[in-house]
Amino acid sequence: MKQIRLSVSSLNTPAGRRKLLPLLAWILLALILIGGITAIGGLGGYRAAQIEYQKNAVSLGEKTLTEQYALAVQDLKEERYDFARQRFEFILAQDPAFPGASEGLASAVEILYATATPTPVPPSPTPSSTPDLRPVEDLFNQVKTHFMQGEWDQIIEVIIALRKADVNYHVTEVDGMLYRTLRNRGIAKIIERGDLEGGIYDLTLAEGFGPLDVNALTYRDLARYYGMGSGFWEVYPEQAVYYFGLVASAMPSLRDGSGWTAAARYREAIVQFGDQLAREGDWCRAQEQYELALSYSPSPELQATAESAAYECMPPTETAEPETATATLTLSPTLLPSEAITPSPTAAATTITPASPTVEPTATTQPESSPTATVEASPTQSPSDTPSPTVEPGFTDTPPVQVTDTPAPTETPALATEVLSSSTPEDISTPGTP
Amino acid sequence: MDRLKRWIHRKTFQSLVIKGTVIVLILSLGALFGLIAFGLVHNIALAKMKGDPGSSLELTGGEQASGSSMMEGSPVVNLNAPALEPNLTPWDGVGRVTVLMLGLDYRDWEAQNDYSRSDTMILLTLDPLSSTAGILTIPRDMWVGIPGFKHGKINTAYYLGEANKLPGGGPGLAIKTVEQFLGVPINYYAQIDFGAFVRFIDELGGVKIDVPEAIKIDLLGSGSATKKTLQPGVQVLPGEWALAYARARYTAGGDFDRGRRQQQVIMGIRDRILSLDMLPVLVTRSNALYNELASGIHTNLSLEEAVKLAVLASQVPKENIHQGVISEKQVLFGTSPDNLSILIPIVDKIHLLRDEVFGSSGALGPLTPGSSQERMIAEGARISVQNASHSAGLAERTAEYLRSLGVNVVEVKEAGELSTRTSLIDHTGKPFALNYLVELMSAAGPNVYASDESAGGVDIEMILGDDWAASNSLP
Repeated sequence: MKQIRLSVSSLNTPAGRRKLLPLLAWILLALILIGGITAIGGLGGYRAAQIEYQKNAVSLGEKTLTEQYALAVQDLKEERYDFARQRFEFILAQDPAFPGASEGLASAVEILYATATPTPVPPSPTPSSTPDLRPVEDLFNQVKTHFMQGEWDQIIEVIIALRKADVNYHVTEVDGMLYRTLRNRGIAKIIERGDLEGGIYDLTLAEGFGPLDVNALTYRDLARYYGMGSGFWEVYPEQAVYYFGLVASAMPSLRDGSGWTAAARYREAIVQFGDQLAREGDWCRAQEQYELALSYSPSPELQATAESAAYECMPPTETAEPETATATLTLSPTLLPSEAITPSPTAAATTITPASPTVEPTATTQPESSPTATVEASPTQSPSDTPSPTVEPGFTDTPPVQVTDTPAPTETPALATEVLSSSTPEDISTPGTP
Repeated sequence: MDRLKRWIHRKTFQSLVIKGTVIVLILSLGALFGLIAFGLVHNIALAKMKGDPGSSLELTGGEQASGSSMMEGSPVVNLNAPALEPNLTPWDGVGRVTVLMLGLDYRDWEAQNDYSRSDTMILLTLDPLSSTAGILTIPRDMWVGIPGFKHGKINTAYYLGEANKLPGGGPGLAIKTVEQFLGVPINYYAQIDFGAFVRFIDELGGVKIDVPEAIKIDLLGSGSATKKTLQPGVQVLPGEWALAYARARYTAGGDFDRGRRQQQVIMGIRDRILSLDMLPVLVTRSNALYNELASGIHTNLSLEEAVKLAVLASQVPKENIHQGVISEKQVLFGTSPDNLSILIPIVDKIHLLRDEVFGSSGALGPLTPGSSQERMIAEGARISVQNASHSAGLAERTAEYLRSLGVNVVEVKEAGELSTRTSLIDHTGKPFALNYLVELMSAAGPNVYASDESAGGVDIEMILGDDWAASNSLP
């Protein structure tokens, strides 16, 4: 302390200041050294954290991809092709060179599309939320270009960017293009992408601009009927048969998001209805349903079931009737107007009246109520709502559809069997759903 | 002399020892600080990289796939590994944005099941351009097609996505299922755990609810102490009570009532934030709050997006918020093949409700101002009027009448062949003219056709049939 005091007291003298310089130099050196080492330590810590993080990330990423690959292979083995496809696509999106993933995807897609006959979904453009700062005029021209090329998704993206930049720019013209785009995309979603509800929604948006044309209305109706049938799937097969019969008669290849076609749903619904009748002991009608389903697509298992039902229908001990209507497999999903499901707008009722849009042999059509049905079905269409896929020649702005003539309100809907008989076997195959 | 040398030598030696000691001390101190800095920076940086609040909150594949309960709120791990997250279209910032809110099943959580079903599904949609919003509740027993699976109740989609470790996981499959069911694109999802919900409500100081009738609620936990009864009237419910109120289902309307209560709570939260002007405070505190609630919220929304949406939502007037619950009016009651109670959708009625909630306004809606006639005139569609009826001169008379209304008739002629039905053929996409003409000719109920073929400088061909000849009200 004495020295320090001396030093402090001697600061005023040049000698004292000279003596202090080394001390200050030492302190400075100490600070530089300590600071430098600390900074190096900090940098080292940050770098180590980075390395560790990346290592963990890579490790976790590899683990996830490997796990997904194993699951995809398992899915392939167990014929869950759609899952396998999703997993392989996920892997390839992360690591395009992942061993075996491309081959796996190819085989999954090959089998999936061979059995489900869906139209491969075109790859959707990579969405980008980056604002497009190009001049509005450029955007407008882009819309026109995409419009001419029928790139509906891109048009909508660019129109949104355009409206973000200037909501009033050529507003009426843009409205017109949006109307057509939504209409065309809606139809494309329904008939190409299997996105039935998405298509209906787009068409509804288009309708906000102006009236829909006959084709668009027809496709929307078909998608609606498909949705109605889907609601009754496995629950009220009789209703499902009715709705899928309507769709299958007009457009058997119409498919949903899972790859099922209307024809496949129709056939399966018939089988389900047969099963329901068999459970109720109505073996003869069950047999008719099985035979009808077999007429679309042969199946050894179903053949055995049908034979079993036939045996139960006419046991050997009984005197067999010479012939039943099922012998003539020119069956039609007869729908009498009075049997059609009546709309019940309130729909608060908790009972379904089994409308009897049954698929019956024309020779034996007798609407019957299903004993299990206890609720009033209220699908909201009348016979006049029957899809009327009248595609006018010359207005082929949409892909061709297999259509039948518009039935008059009192007519029987077009026969599914008639249309289906000319359809390819793929039309009624079902995807390998788990 | 020697003595002096020894003294100098000793002094030099002492000086060297002192200097050496000081240097060693300095270096040791430096090393100590360096080590401390290394450890601190390493830990902080690693923690920041793993749980950056600016990035979206996701359970990554490895963690999520481990099967631990989603309800327990495991810490968020967001390494840059490929996450099993839904591949959704991000919001473009101007168009409609839709978020699927998911609440998981308490029974699964309580039973510590590996995978949970979704107990609550609410679609929140917002259209910034028209400043409208919508809330649509989907009951959990809805019988739907689940992509890749058999038909099932909609609440099993989340479970199946988790249990099968699908890319996108539970939220991914739940979103796909809802999109397939309703047709509307979904941009984001948010799955909120009970704890985070309670914590958030408490942060707001409770939520004001007008309880319409006495209702029994069950707070989280077990035992009789959790059973409470809410009396009718306006009251501010703390988080735990608000959650119990939103979860209660033992009223006459069952799940449908519950859906309405959940929407009541959502609106209550909105009102609370706006009435107390809490949004600026929440936005200021958003980072801290987000970190605090992060473990209980699983979403692909980034903090920035969440704040932006909250601010936008706060600007939507209450009367512009359309609420809908898919209820007994839109479904039929039924039983699944495995004897579960299910709701069968009445597709058309659900479409109506969806369109009420989502509307057709906004960036993907018509923005041309004016009445039907003004829009038609603004569009300036070139119309060709053609007579296909047996009535001579009908095209000329109709054209004159249309011109008097402002319709741009550019051609009048006889059609190639006769027709009983009136048709409008749109060649270029002129919705407002079509709309106006269809309204004008409603008595005839013209068929509308769309064509991509050029019609020689004409936008719409109007082919007049006998029905128009018989029903027109031309002057």
